[in-house]
Amino acid sequence: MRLRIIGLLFCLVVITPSYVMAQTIIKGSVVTEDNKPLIGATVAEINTTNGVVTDNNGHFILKTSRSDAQIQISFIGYKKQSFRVSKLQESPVVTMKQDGFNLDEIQVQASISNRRTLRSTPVAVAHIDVEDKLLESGADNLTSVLSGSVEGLQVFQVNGKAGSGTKFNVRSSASFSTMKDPIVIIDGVRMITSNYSDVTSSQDAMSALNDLNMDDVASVEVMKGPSAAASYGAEASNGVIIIQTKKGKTDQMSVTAKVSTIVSKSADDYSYLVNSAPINDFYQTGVGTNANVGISGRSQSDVSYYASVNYRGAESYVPGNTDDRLGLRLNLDKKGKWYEWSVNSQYTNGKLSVPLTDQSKYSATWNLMRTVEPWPFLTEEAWNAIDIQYDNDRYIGGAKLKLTPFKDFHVWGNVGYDQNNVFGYNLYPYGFDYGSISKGQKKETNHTTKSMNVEFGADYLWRVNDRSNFQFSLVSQINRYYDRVNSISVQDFPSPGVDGIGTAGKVNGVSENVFEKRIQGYYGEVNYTYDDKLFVGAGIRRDQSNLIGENVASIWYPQMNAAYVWDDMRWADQFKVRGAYGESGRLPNPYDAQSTYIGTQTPTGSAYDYYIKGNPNIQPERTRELELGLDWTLTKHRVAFTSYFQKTVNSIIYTDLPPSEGWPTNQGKYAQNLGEIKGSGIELSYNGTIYQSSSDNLKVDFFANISYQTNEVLSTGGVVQNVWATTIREGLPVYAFYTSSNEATFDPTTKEYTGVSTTDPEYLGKPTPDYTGSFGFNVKMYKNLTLSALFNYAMGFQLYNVTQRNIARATNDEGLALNNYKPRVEAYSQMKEYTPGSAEYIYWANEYAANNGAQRGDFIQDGDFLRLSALTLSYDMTSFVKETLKTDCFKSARLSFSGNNLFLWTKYEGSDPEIDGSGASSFSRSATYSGIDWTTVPRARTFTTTLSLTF
Amino acid sequence: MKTIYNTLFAIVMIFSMSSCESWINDAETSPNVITEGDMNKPEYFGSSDNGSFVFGPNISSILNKAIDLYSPLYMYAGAMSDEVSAPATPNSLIYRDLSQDNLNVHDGSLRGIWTNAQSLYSMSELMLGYAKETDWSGSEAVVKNNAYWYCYFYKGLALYNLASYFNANADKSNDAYIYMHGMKTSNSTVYLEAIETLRQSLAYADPYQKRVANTALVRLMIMSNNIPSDIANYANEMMIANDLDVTISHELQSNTFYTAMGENSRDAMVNQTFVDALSSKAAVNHNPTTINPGNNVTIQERFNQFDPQVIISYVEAELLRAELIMTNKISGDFTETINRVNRYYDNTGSSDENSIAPLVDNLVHYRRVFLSWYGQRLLDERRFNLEGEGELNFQTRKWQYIAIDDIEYSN
Repeated sequence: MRLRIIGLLFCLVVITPSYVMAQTIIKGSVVTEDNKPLIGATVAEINTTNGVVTDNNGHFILKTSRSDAQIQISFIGYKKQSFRVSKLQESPVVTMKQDGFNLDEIQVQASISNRRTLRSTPVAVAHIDVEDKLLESGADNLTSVLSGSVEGLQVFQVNGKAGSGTKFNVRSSASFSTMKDPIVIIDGVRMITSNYSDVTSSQDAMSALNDLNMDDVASVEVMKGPSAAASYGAEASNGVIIIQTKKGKTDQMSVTAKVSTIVSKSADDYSYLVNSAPINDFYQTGVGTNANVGISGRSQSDVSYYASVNYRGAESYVPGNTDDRLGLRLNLDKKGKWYEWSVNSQYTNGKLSVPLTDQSKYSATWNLMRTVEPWPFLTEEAWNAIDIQYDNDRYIGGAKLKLTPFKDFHVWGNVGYDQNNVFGYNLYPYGFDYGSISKGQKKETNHTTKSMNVEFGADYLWRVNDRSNFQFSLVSQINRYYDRVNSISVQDFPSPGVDGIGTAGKVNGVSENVFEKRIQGYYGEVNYTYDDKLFVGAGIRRDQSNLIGENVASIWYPQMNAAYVWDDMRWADQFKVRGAYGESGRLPNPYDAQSTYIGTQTPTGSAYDYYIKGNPNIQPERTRELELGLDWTLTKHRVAFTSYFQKTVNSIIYTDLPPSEGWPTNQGKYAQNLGEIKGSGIELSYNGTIYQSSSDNLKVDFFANISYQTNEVLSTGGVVQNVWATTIREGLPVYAFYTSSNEATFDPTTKEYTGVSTTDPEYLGKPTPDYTGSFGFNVKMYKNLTLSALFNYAMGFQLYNVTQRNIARATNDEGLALNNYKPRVEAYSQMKEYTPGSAEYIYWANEYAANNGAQRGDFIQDGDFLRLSALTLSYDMTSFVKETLKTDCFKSARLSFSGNNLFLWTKYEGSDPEIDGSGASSFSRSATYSGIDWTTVPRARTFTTTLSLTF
Repeated sequence: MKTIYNTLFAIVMIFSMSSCESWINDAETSPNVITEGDMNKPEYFGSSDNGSFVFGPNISSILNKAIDLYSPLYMYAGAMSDEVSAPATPNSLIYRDLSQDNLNVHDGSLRGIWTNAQSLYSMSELMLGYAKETDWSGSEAVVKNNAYWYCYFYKGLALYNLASYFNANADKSNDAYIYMHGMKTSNSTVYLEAIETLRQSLAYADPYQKRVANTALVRLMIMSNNIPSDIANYANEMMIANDLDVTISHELQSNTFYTAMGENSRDAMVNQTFVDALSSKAAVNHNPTTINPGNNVTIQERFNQFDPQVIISYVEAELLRAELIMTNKISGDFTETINRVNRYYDNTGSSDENSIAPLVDNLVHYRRVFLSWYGQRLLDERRFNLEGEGELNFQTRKWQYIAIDDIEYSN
């Protein structure tokens, strides 16, 4: 290998003089079928690194040393074309033809070490063009961009409040881990995805994903499982999301200004309450504004730039819930003959106000629903006075340098850094009655999270002959994640208006916690390509981390894959079969590996107490995945089918320790690799143009996808863990609902209702759906009017409706007049209408028993739904503006109207099944619950008007 | 040349990360915690202040576990015997369950007391391990001696408690056993280890600590019926003095006798037969009780909220001596020994007896009233085959030890 590199280096030195001496200059232009200049098309000499892109007028100038060179012209969405130099000199105007599903040009991240075209990618990697997505759906955050866009990935906000967290269900969810977030990488920076709940419940946590301005984003790619993401190693079982922000494309400066007004309303009224007016009247109409100005272009020194200023002022329909974010971004990059570099920076300043509307005693949603008379625990005035907010300052930045010392050999380095400083503030002011607190209470937190990643890599393309080549890649990576939280909680202020920490009469608690995660990994990969049709690859990654037990030296994650592509068949323009196998992990939680003792103060002085018993043998949970699929493209239709089989081993289960084994049971759980879970699924998608008029005045695109996924716990090492209605036990899905229900009992003589008996616990459902998917259309009319619709659905899952259960059991039989749960009250009054022993009496008695709130099993409810997530009408008024204003300064002008969450059809008896009162992902060292509705604020209905102008 | 440099630089950077193992292990831990292996330094055990030992965090950690254990353990033992009863409507049901022999091996409260007993053992054993790893050169002898003494002494007490109060086996016809290190271990084996451990503490003890350790040893030998022929040597080392009490402070944590049977609680009450047994002024002085007007039950007044718990006492040493005299293991005056106890609580002498026959019944009576709320009555009812005066006849109880949580049985 070394000799080969030296040889190539020698050749390069020898050839260089002649290369400089004889050059051919090709001038031309590239246009679309309707004769418009195609800006940014690539004009490149095949099998070299020599290439340029077309300017704002579609023109290009390419210099080549070979008069017989083959020149290829390509652009995403168009069929690429190749010409001899002489041919191009004869006919310098190239007309590009649209190709709806050109997999040859779209580049996606295929592994940590390289990007490849979709054509050559042997796994189902999703690629989302975010600019298109924003136009079609009114989406304004990562959650709404991903929702419905990727088969096998269910994404939703955990509640309807601005700034709330995001729940990811990736493929079969075959894991006990509560950390379900994929790795998110933006421009090479490992992004912090934490959900901050320092001064709120996990339900009201602030999501770090909020800081992402989607107007800055060019594309999002999703690697869904280990077969795609194995190269990312010990944290990649939940997949990887790759975000690419925008870059300057043309020599001429381009300015895009976009402003949106978003109106939020309650999507539906509560109907299951006796007195629903208080909660229905509580919600308001929220009005928010997004404004973004982006500037892009390329300087005379060939440095591409993109800069933006963004303000997002969201106001949800929950009174007091606002999320204000100011963002700045600057991206610079340059591509030279033997080098490429890029620098990306983002700064965000945010302020999130969180009204108390979670599951707690003083939450407005609880106080407005609990009993017929609202506000049982505090006055509305006292609730309004509670002030909870998060302020954050965040910097995300990265730099990458790629060198090409000689042909086909690259070395590169990448540095990424993300720091988020979050200040949390929770004030119950002086002078209001909050139970035992009348003189006020306050908690303040300073939370700093840092993420840093450094990668060095090298790759070499060995061209065996004209048709086949090998690519060798090697990457070394370190990741550091650092988290520090300082908090102080005080109470008893001297008077109204005085709430300084130093003025408090009592300090309730002071704490300082630090967590640091370090990971170091190597990844090596070999890919073989034959004739641009056969693609075979294999790679292996080795990881070390401080979160892995000291007896576990390192972890290895292999992957291998193959794909074959047939082109221009009679029955397919392109047909690809693909298969891949990969393994990746989920790291143990902090403290799982190392025994720790916590400092404490005792009557005899400073001391240590048992904190957490570490397991020196603990290793990451490992998911193995085999993925098989095919992609079929015919004219303007594309079908993709993928099936996968997963087996998760070494799943971490937290057990109680017998005290006699030297560690107290109630002082933290003990992590063990005990579990095994199997998962599998099928993903099917269709994209296509189902109608296109000859005049192009009407074009109808349709898309649909469906995913089926299932999981089953194979082994728990004999452990059974129950948390509320949820269980971990062998033979059932992960976090299945397994609990008891009520049955009415009757006096054998009088036949009167006497009370309830409780059934044995039984399996009642699961929180992850059997089927998820979306479908929709884009109708383009008269070339400038577009109507888009997106429907989302999920079937075969359940929710535990804690809201209804808590309301139902808020009062006993004697207090039934105050009970606000209509099914319970109605069942009781109906039962009283009939004669004991009659069929109607027995029916209503059973209804009464099932709705008295005593048993959780009576409130496990089907969640199947179909939602009209987005309906957008967009008008391209470029021509209209140009003609009206008689100016050419506008490159484009667009006006769009979107409605989101317009209709919901659901079996669910609560307000919205696509929420989760347990919050978004977080570290948890115990079994937990998922899929609950706990006085959770349902999703809003929003109406967005957007005006976008490009100069 | 530049190309070669670039290439070499990149390759060096890639492989330079192969030395990252130390970087991985240098990750910061929370400032609140300490990891295993960091506590084997003399200053973690304590320091010397002009020759006096000052507790370091390792020793305080052991004492803190003793604080967690003793007052609830003695309260549980009282509820199983005839010292403590349950009122009609208790808040916490554990004392009623103990009194009424309704122990359930799934009970969370049992898990708590078993955990506390094992925690004292494991913490003292852990710290003993660190003491053995510690390089003591350069530190004063008083620090090393105290480090070892506290570790051995509290480990010995922990073993004594585990063997005396716990039993996984409700079947009284079989030997008692508990779980140690996850393994079934007979109580008699644990007793022998306790004796050996307390003996080892003597090698590091100062004169006062020797008296304390010998008192604990004599108690242990009597309770385990492992009385050696040279018991007199141990008994003499208890010495006669009235400054022997070893207390563990509850300054930051409520004493269970106060929280369960004090002025603001209704979880438990003083057994009326115990109140009736307080026949002397000394007995009443030692056991102040009153009627709680709130619920009209008898409550104790000895312990306030943060009062310390006595775990080795001068009075116990005297009563152990009296027992050895009664059983002719040592020579001495039984009546005078008991009267020293009477005078300890009533220095007027009005509680003194002219003559007390060296009989079990008499010994049991004085142990009941002067070692009350001290965990001894349960042991006495068991070893002297007493029926007791509790809610149930003690001999017919299913549980004569505290049951062990079922998490131990599952392994």
